[in-house]
Amino acid sequence: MGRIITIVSGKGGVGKTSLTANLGVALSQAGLKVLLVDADVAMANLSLILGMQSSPITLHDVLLGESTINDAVYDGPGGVFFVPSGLSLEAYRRVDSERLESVIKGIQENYDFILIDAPAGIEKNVMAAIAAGDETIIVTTPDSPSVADAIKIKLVAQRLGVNPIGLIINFARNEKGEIKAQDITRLLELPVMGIVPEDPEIRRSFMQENALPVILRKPNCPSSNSIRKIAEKLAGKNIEASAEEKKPGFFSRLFGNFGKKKQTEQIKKTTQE
Amino acid sequence: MGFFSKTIGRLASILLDLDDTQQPKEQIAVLGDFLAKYKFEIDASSMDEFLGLLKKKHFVDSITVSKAGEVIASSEGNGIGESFASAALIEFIGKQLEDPETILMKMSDCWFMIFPFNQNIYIVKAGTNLSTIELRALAREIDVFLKKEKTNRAKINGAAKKIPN
Repeated sequence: MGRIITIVSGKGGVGKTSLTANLGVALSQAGLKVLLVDADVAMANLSLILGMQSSPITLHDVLLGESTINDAVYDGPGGVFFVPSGLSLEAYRRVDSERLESVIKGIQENYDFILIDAPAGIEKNVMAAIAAGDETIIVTTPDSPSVADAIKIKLVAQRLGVNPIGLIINFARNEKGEIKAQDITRLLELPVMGIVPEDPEIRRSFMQENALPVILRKPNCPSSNSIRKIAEKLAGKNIEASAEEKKPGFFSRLFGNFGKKKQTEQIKKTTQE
Repeated sequence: MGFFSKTIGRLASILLDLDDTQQPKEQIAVLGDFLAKYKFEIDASSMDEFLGLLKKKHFVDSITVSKAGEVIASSEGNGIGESFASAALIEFIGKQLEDPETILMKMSDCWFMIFPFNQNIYIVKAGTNLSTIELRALAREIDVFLKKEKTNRAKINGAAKKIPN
């Protein structure tokens, strides 16, 4: 039986979706069979981070009873499997998110890990995502508005009988005013599973024609290393970073450009002849 | 950004005191107080006590559990009228509509939520309507408590039988 973990935050914009994608890829690199589910039925974003925006069958169709969950599972980057949510507003108005629990539990045995990306807030769709999981991980940033919402989401999870297993502190900048990890642990009475530093590479990873999770695009950048460590804790084993595509150095880029110029000149000559 | 530029940047920030942020100590204290208000340790010895604690945890006004029109437990002491009416309502609606999950009734100042769970009927009264997920979570807790109570009672009865006259 696989572990179903819902990634929640309370507050929006704390990097929950990006963390879900990268954690999933890291667990998959550990040789585990991982399914990512975009349970943000109103504001689906996970597909954009995975570079899989055009998926014909989505979770909306499954929750509407028009498709089975297996029809909505796609091969994602880095070996993960992925269930996207639709972008249609009309379908969103019609879906019954309360069906999520039975849908996910139905495929639990097919995977080692099912990571559910929950929406922000504490409304009905969030509760549906939490109830669909057996455990939750709370993502917060080291500031008071985010920690306040993390406390509320922890209470919601407890009310629903779902066990929060730990915290991930995201976008840490090591500034004096940040709430310290030990204070967040004390406030939420949960262990910190990892601290992910603010890293421009995360943002750059989805500002591409072909978006990829940062752990695949820059496997050795600080955020990728931190996320890998969290995944190691979850998987209970070491995970090797995938080899990074080497960027050409300064000289090869310079000479490469000369080469390109020569080539263009030759092409121009031949076309003129 | 390379290691050297990062280190130089950090050093410059320390030397020029660019980081003017401060620990929000008062806010941290407020958050600590907030969490302390919502400690849900449901460790009750009787059903009455348990339902009282559940009311606080799930933000509801009353909980009644019934089976075939008979009251199994009620946070309000009686609940007989509610049980009869709810059992009849569930039965009537079940005949008209196929497999109803929850019946919600909006009164002028509250909501009544009636739903079946594990052969019992639950009647919950609250200021606002709860989702099916929340109602099921509440019912699941009561169900576990009822089973535990039943086992305890069986143990006590078993022990009583063993005592010689």
